[in-house]
Amino acid sequence: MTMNLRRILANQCNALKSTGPRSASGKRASSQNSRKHGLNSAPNFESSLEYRALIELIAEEGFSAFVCADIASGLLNYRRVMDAYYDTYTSPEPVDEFLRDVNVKASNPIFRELLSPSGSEPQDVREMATFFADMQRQERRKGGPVSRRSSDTHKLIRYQRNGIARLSRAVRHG
Amino acid sequence: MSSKVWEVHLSELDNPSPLAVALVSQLNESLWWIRRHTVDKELLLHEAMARILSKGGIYTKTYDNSKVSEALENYLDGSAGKDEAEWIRDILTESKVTLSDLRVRAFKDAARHIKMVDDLIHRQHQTIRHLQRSIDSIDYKSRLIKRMDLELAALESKQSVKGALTLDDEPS
Repeated sequence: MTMNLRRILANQCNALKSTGPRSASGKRASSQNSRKHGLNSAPNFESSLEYRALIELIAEEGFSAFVCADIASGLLNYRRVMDAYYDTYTSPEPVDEFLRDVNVKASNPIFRELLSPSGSEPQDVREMATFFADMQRQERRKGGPVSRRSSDTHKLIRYQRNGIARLSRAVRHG
Repeated sequence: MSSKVWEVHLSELDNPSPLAVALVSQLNESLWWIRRHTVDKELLLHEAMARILSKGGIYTKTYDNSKVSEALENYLDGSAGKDEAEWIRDILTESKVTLSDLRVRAFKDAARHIKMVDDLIHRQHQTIRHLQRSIDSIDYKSRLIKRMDLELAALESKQSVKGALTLDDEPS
């Protein structure tokens, strides 16, 4: 158990020394890290088969070609938002159980042992413990899986509002 | 349950068009999300209760949220075994809280996330309102077109009768 704890803490300490990707492909990959749902990118429905099929169906109801295009893209856009909503809800950020449950104060001897080869001062050990305590506080603040999926889906509210308003406007003004 | 709601909504429409069916299916999905988020509110409370219990008393040393959570779920359902129920009662005594105290404290802890779920439910209500208005407008439009068709047909038949009478009046 202690070996396991030491190994995890050592890995996390080493990870702090990382300065990020260096190669072009690594930088390109990490530039996509913050991209989660893709709802900020402009969609291009015009070339899709669904779009053309929808336009044909809606046209049978007596709407003009312009309104048909508006309703079809509104409907597909709303579906895009709701699919992202579902994906976000079903795959929340995982809970780091180790960080959440570890007793940081009791880990001080391990920090000391890990830092001692570089002749570190007690101040370094304190800083390391404070750093882990902060990370633990942040982890605990995010809560469990249900809290995480609630706050993740909450971020998509504005996309949902815009999507349904666009669709509704297209149908009612058509 | 879901398919019944779907059938009821469709049956309320007079000869539903493909667009109306698409909108009703979105409405049905919103109702599903409302039910889902309502369950989430209870789960949030449960999560917070388990967290408080895991931190309480002697169990600080053997902090295991998932184990406590599972035992608490069984205890609240009434499906907990003798050992499990006793364990939960022990933790409650150790933490010096009753079940209702625990619920109140959990509600306070989870208030921020419960508010978020309330926002999500409210958003679904707004979505349903938008969809209902859209369905109404399609339905009204199709009724209007049907009424105009009927009026046009009546006018045409009136015109043709009048025309026939005029033709009859003409001298041969």
